[in-house]
Amino acid sequence: MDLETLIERCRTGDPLAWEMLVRRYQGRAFGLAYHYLGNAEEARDLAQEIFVRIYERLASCTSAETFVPWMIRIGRNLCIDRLRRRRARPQAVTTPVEEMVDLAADAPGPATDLERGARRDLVQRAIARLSDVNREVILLKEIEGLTLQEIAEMLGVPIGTVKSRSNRARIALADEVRLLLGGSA
Amino acid sequence: MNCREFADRLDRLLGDAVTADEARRLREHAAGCPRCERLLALFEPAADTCPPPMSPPSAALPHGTREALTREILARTSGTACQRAAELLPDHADGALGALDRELLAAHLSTCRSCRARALLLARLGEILPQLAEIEPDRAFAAEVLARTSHRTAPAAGVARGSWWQRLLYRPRFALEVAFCGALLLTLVTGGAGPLVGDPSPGRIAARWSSPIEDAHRIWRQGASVAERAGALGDAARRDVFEPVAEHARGVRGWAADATRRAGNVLRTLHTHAQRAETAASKGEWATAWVVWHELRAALPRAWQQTATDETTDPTEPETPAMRLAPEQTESRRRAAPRTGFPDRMQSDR
Repeated sequence: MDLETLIERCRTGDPLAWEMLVRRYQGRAFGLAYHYLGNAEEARDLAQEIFVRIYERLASCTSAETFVPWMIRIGRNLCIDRLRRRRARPQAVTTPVEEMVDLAADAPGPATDLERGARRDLVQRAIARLSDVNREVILLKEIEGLTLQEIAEMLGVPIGTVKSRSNRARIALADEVRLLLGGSA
Repeated sequence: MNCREFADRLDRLLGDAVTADEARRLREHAAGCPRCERLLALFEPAADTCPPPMSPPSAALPHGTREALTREILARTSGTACQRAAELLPDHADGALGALDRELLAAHLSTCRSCRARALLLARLGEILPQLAEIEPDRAFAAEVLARTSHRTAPAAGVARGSWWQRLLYRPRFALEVAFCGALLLTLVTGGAGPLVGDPSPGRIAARWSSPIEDAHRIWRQGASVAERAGALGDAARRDVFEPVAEHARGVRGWAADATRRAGNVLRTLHTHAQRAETAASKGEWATAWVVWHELRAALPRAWQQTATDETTDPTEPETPAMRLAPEQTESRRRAAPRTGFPDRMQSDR
């Protein structure tokens, strides 16, 4: 079923359509939250918040083409709110995604998915070492695949700024990966 | 060798030279795989055992010496070109670089191992990063989301398409805007943040915030009292001032008309006698003129007396039934304002 039809059925209140939408995009929501928060337990809770928000405001999504950017925008806003609260009230314990297996011991959790390839884990760790600005632009452009125009509108900066930030962030990420490999940046 | 083994080998060889045997095996795989061939091209200058593309001008200058000389010259002139290469590498990885920049960058990469490693990593990251977009949570995740949304009403399809005030209510900043407007209105009504300055005791704050309301109520009561008094004063003025004045005016007008009528009679008498005396005198009838003259002299005192007698009539005395007042009231008014005719209430009010 194409996304437009799925969204339309969700708007009519069809639970089956909503379940399909959740299953189709839960990985994107969880991945987005995890890349922002760096904590699997918190990312799991926030991913649920993303879907609750989507459920409440699905009517404001104008078309299927804009659904993913719209979802990312919602997720980004929720993540930023969560990070602000976290900075105001630091958590005593953080749960990295590697320990997510403890949260879902009876099923192959995200840690299992992440650890399928050491290369992805390496890149994941390199992303975590980036600055907030570099990590966000890597997340939005390289991982989520948003266009420069969409990112510029989301961040409220000119396209040229997004482009230069993206170039710098990619170089910084390559250097971080190289450092983790034991080389020199 | 498959693509995964190819990528792993390249990762392990980052920054290191590739032996001839490894290069051969890599090249064998890349020959049948365009994607791996593109990755290998980034390693080719190091893996390639052939001479560099640009032959040295002098065969007597070894390759290592030539590179060292180039670095020394660059260090004394423009500095290293790695920074500029780093600016171009992302576009190079995206295939968005112009022909001239691509050629210049390729020449730099052929001699700079560090930038070559960066270029390789950027190409590899371009493949890995999109795979990180989805991280599947555990199987219970979807069930929990459905449980959290099942008790809610159906997706608010009608909210965003509803009336303007419904859309206004669902705006993200609506609560903040309402709070701001409410605070502004409260500040304007109560006269600012006065209660927060100085003594912050609850009693003072309560008194400060309640006093404007009490003031408004007191002013309202005073306004009602003034209006009531003004209404009573108007009734009294109408009853005690304007109606008596109108009555007096009507009395004066009647007396004046009567006086005019009586004075006219006197004057007509005088005129008749004077005319007869003049006629007799002009005709030489002196006796007649003499008699008339004496009659005229006798008539003048009578006319004067008659007029004086008429003046004894009080012109302020009401003559119509509506103008009649009680005798004591008329008497007191006559004593209070015998000349002007204004009623006492008006004089006392002044």
